[in-house]
Amino acid sequence: MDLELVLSAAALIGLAVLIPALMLVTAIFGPRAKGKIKDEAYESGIGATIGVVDQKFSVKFYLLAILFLIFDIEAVFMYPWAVSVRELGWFGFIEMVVFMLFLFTGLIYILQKGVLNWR
Amino acid sequence: MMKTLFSADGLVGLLFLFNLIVTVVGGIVACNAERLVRAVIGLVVCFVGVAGIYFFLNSPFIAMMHILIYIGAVAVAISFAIMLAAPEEKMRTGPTSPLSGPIGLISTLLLISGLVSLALKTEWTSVTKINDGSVKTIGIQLLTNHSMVFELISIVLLLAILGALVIARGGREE
Repeated sequence: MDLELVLSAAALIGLAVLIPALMLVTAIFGPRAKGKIKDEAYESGIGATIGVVDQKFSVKFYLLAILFLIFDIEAVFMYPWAVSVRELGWFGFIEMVVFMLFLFTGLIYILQKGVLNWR
Repeated sequence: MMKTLFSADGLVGLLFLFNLIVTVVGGIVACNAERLVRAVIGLVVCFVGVAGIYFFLNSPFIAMMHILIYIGAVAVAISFAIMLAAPEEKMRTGPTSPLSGPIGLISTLLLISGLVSLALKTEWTSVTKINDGSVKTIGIQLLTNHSMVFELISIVLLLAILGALVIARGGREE
C-alpha cells in the first residue's frame, strides 16, 4: 500500500491521541491553586460581568454575519470554476462574470443602504 | 482477507472511526451544554466530524463547502443570534415527567434496532459512478451542463441579501 498515506494517517492519529492524552495528564497531575478572585471571569479592571444579560447588541452584527455567509457561499462556488478554468475557457469566464454581477448588484444595494457604515 | 490495523486500509478505517467519534461527541456536547455558547462550540465540533464523513464519502467539494459555510459562517451567525437574543441561561428545559426518560430510551432502542436490522437485511448494490466527484469535474459540469442552475444560484443569493436587509431593517423610517 501507499507508504505516504500510511505515514500521514499514522501522524494524524498520533496527534489525535497525543494531544487529548497530554491535556488529560496535565489536568490530573498538574498543580493548581484555586481562589475566589482567581476563579473570577475577569481578574483586573472590569469585575465579574456574569449575570448581566440586559445589554443589547445592534442588529448590525447579525446583518454582517448573514452578509458574510452569503458572500462565503459565493466564494465556495468560485473554487470549482477556479480549478477548471483552462478547460472552460472564455465561456466559463463569461458565466462567472454574470454570476458575480448579480452579487455585485446586491453589494451596491448594501452600500447604498449604508449597512456597512459604522457610526 | 483479514485486514490488519497496520495497513493503509486499517489506518483509514481508524481515521473514519475517529471522525464518527468526533461527530457523536460534538452532538452530545451540543445537546447537553448548560450554556448556549458551549452548545454552539459542540455543534462546530460535530460539523468537523460530518465534513470528514463527507470526505470519506468521496465528495471533497461537499466537505469543503461544509467547513467553509457551516463552520466558518453559520457558526458565526448562530453566535451573533445568541448575542442578540440574550436568552435566559437558567431556562433549560428538563424532563417534564419521570416516565420521559425510560420511554425515550425504549423508543431510541426500537429505532436503532429497526435501522440496524434494515441495514443488515438490505441487499446493497453499488451504483455506477457518474464521475469521479472531484472539484474539477464538478466545476466543468456546473458551468457547462448545469450552467442555468449556476446562474440561478447567484439570483438566489441576491434575493437572500435583499431579504436579510428587508427583515433586519424593517420598520425604520428614513
